[in-house]
Amino acid sequence: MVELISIWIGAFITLCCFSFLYKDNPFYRFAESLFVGVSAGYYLSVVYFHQVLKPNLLAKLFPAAFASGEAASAAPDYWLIIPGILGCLMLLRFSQKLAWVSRFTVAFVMGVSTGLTIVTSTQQYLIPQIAKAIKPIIVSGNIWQSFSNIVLVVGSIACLFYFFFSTEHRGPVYGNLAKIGIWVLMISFGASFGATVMGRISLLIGRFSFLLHDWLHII
Amino acid sequence: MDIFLKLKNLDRRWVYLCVALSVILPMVFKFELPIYPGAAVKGIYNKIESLEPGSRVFLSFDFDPAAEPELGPGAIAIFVHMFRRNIKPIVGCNWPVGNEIAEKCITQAKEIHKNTFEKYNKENKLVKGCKIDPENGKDYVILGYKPGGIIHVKNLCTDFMGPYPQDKDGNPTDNMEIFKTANGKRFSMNDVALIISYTAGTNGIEAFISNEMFHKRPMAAGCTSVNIPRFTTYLQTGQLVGMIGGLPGAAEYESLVDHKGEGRAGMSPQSIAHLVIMIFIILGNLAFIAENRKMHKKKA
Repeated sequence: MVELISIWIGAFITLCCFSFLYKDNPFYRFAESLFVGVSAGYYLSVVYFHQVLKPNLLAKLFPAAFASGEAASAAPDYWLIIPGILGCLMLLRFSQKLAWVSRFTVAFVMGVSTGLTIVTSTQQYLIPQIAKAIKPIIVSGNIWQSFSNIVLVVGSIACLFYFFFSTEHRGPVYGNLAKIGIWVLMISFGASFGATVMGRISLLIGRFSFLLHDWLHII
Repeated sequence: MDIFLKLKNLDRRWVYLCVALSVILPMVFKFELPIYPGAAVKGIYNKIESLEPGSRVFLSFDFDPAAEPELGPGAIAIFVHMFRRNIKPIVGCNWPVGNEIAEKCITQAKEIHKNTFEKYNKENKLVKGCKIDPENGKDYVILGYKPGGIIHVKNLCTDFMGPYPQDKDGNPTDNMEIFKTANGKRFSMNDVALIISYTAGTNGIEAFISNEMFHKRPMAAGCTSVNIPRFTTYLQTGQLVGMIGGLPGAAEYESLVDHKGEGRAGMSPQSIAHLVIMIFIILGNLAFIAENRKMHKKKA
């Protein structure tokens, strides 16, 4: 019975959202507001409290009160008071006078994130991409591989030329390379557009599958 | 030419209707189109085939219900493949709602595995030790959501029990059979044979790629169609052994594991809808050219 009701509610909300394709209407606005409200409530209670704050901070600081099973008798981990205080400082953003204190937490998070990202970006993204872009232009006995490598090397260089803005995109070498760069970028945007269309149609299939199979039992 | 000019002013609602019909009609009047698995999908399949039975694979569900129609079918197909090969999935989530989706996918995969077990057993296609009903804690486990993304993954590289003292249902992970190691050390990312992340946005496979220097494990991704161009670069560099891109990727994997799921069912409406969109793009361009010509004629 519960499943049946949830399917009918899901179908109604789906149709409310689809109705926007005809024109804006109260049913669509109802679905939109409902989604915003339910998401906010769900994230605040289920995610932020029950999945983040409780198991990661409260259950470790006050195991007897918040943990269950064997973990309830574990010793409190007092190191977690530091991140707990840093988290509480963020709440001071609501006060006009004390909002500046929250910057300590922001600074800490930014420092850690930047430190990690600089190292990992260089080692895992920049260097492997450059290494794989260095290819032999002519591969003997394999014309297609040679063509593929030429496209990759010329395309990479041309795109980099296009994003070099300190000189005007003119002249036989610089101007033409920048033009090739634009073409390569346009092709990549086309690929991204095609992939996006594919993704959106997949989502539409998912919704129609729900309406026709789970709700109407037509298919 | 006038017909193209009229088309330029076509009400967009006719376009929506055509696209909707192009999806609905192939679903109602079912027909199948051939599916040819590509190198990226075969990469994951072959990697799982090459793993020793009993190996543990870490799967990260880094998406929410909005991406489920694209990533769910691929995840189910991989679970089915793993259960048939007696490979043990350890599921984590970098996205909060990944928990519920992972549980749903495992339940469906167990059902498919159970229904096809006898057939595959008769054909000798199951590995030794493969169970008809995989058990939670022994043959698979869902650990649940942890915040932190890249930092959380870095933690897992040294120890699983610290971030995950309990699984998502509150069972202690310390005594679970799935986490037992030969040398008695605490289980870490170094003990998994493969990492797969189903990624819809940030904190997905890139969180694992960022930590490659710490775990040094082979990685693969399931991603939404929008992310395919972005993640193809990691295939090219060899950082990913394979990739399931969107619903077509899921259909390809389903055909490899001989399962007719939502991926394969979605390929006929997907193809027809693409065809309709291509026709509209061509018509739109013809209308644009027709309008330009008319304006030039007027000026002349």
